Amino acid sequence: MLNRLAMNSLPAIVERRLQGVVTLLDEGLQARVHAIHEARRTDRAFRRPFTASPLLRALLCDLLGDLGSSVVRVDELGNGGCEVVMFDDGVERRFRLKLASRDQYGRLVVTASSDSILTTAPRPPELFDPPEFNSASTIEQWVLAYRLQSETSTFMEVSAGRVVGTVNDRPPYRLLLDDLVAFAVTPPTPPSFRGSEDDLDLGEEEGLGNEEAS
Amino acid sequence: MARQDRTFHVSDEVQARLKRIRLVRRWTVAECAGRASMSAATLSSIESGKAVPSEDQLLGLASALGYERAFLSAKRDLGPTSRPWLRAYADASKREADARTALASLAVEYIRALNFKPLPDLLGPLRGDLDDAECIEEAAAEVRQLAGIESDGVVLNAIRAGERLGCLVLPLESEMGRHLGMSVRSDGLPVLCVAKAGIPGDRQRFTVAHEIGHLALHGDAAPPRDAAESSAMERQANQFAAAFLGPGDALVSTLEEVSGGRVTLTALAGVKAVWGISIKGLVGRFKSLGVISATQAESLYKQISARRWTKVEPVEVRTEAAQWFQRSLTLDVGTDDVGQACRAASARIGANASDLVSFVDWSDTNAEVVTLSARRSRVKQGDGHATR
Repeated sequence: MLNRLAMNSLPAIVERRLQGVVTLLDEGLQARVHAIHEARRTDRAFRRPFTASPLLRALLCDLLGDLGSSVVRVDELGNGGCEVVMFDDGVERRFRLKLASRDQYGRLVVTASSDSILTTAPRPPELFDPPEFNSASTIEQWVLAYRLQSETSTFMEVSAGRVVGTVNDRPPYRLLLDDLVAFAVTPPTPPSFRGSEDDLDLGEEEGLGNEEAS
Repeated sequence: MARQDRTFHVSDEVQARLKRIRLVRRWTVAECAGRASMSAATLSSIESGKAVPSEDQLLGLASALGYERAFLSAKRDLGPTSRPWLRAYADASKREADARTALASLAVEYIRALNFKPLPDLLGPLRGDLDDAECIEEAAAEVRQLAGIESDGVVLNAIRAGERLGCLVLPLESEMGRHLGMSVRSDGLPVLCVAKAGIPGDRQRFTVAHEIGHLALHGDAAPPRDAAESSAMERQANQFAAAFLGPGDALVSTLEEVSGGRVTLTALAGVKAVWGISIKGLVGRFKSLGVISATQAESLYKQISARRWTKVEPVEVRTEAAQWFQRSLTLDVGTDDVGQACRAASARIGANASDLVSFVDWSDTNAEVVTLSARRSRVKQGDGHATR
C-alpha cells in the first residue's frame, strides 16, 4: 500500500543552496570523520553496536552549525538528528538528514522508525528567526539521503527526495520519495600544477658546455 | 716498468668499459661473447682482468657493442662509480641495478670524452644527525638555497633544480616495476636517473628530490649494513624530498589560503596545484608537520583509496625533462637537431649514437620526436644496440 502526499519539484535556487550544504558536509566529513574512528579505537563504549550512526549524525549536525543564512535554518530533532530548512517563494522545505542504501534493483532506500516524518506541523516561531521564516504558507518534507563509503565513512552519494509517503504500513517505514535530485560529492579540483621549463642559460657566450670552448 | 704500468692501466680501463657497455645492453657474458665470436670463458677472463684482449678480440667486441675500437681502448682515468641509491631498492634486481649503474657511468664517460664541462657540483656532503627530522629540514632548506630557490618558493622544475646543483640527470625509459629512480656518483659527478614518461609528474618530481636527498645526505656514507639501515636511509631521503619540494611554513600558509587550514581532499588538491606535490604526499607532509594527527592521515589515505586516487590523482602535473646534456651537445655540434648532434658527437669519439641519444632524449617514447632519426642511426649501426 502506498501512502502519498502532494507533489512538487525542487526549485533551481534551492537546489544550488542545497549543493552548498552538501559540499560543506562532504568536506567537513573528509576533515573530521577521523575523530569518530579515533573515538571508536580508544574507547570500547564507542565500539558497541549501533553507536557509529549516532556519532556520524552528531558530526553532521555539528557541521551544519557552520551554516548561517537568512534563508537556511538548521533544526535539531529530538532523536539527535537534524533538518536543514530552506525557504523560497513562500514554501518551507525541510530536508531531514537520513542514512540511505540501495536495494537489489539499485533503488534508493531510506527508512524511518516512525511515521513522524509524514507530519509537517509548523514550528513555533523563535526570537531570532528571520522574517522569511514566518511567511511560509506551505511546508514540504524532504530527506537529504546520504550513502557512505564503508571504509572511510565519507559520502559516496547524496540525494534529496521529497517524502510523498511510505511503502509499507509498519515500522521501519520505507519512505516513498519523489523528485529525486542527486548532488555532486567529488570535489571539483584545480586543473593542473603550473611548473616551468626554466632555462639553464647555457648560452655560448658563457662558454658552458665544452671545456675546450671555455 | 713504465710500459708495463701503462699496459696494465689501459687493460684495466678496457675491462671495465667492456663490462659496462655489456651491462647497459643487458647481455649476459655468453650472449656478448657469442656476438663477438669468442668463448664466454675468454670474455669472462678479459672482463675480470685475467686476460688482456688481443687486437682481433677487441675489434670483435667493438663491433658487437657498436663502438669504435678507439673508444674502447682510450685512456681516460675515470674515477670509480659509487654504489647506486635506488628508490624502492629492495625491489631492484641485481641485473637492473647493474644496468642502470653502468648506464650512468657510461654517460659520464661520454661527457669526459666529449670534454663537456658540467655545472659546478654544489652537493657536498652535509653533516648532522640524520635521525633528527629537524636536521633534514635544515639540509633541504640549504640545498634549496644552493639550487637558487627562494625559502618559501615553489620548485617549479625539480629536474632543473637538480641540474643547477650540478647533477647529470638521465632519462629512464620507464620505472620498470617499482624502481622509481637511481643516483650514483661516477668519476665524482653526481648522476640522477629518473623515468621520463608514463608516470605522473608529481611522482617524477618526488623521485628527483629523493635522489638529490641521497646525494646530499648520504654522499659519503658507507653502504647500509642491513635492511633496517637501508630503510632508514630511504626514509631520510623521503623526508628530505618532502621538505625540499614543500617547505613547512610556506606549505601551511598555502593550506590556510586554500581552505582556512582545514585538511580535506579538496584542500589538498588546491595545495597540489600550487606546489606540484601529490595529494598522498601532502597528507604525509602535513602529518609530519603536525598539522594533522596520525588518525586523520589514516582517514585521508582511506578516502584517497576509496576514490581510486592511488592510481590516478586529480590535478595534472606534467613530467619534466633535463636540459644540460642535450643543450651542451647541440651547442657543441652547432645544430638544434638532437639526432644529428648525437651522430656527429659520437662519430668524433668513436662512440655509439644510439647510446648517446638514450642519455639526452626526453621525448615520450610514443611521440617519436627525436627517435625517428635515432632509429635510422640505429639501423645503420646494426642490430642489438639495446639502448631502449
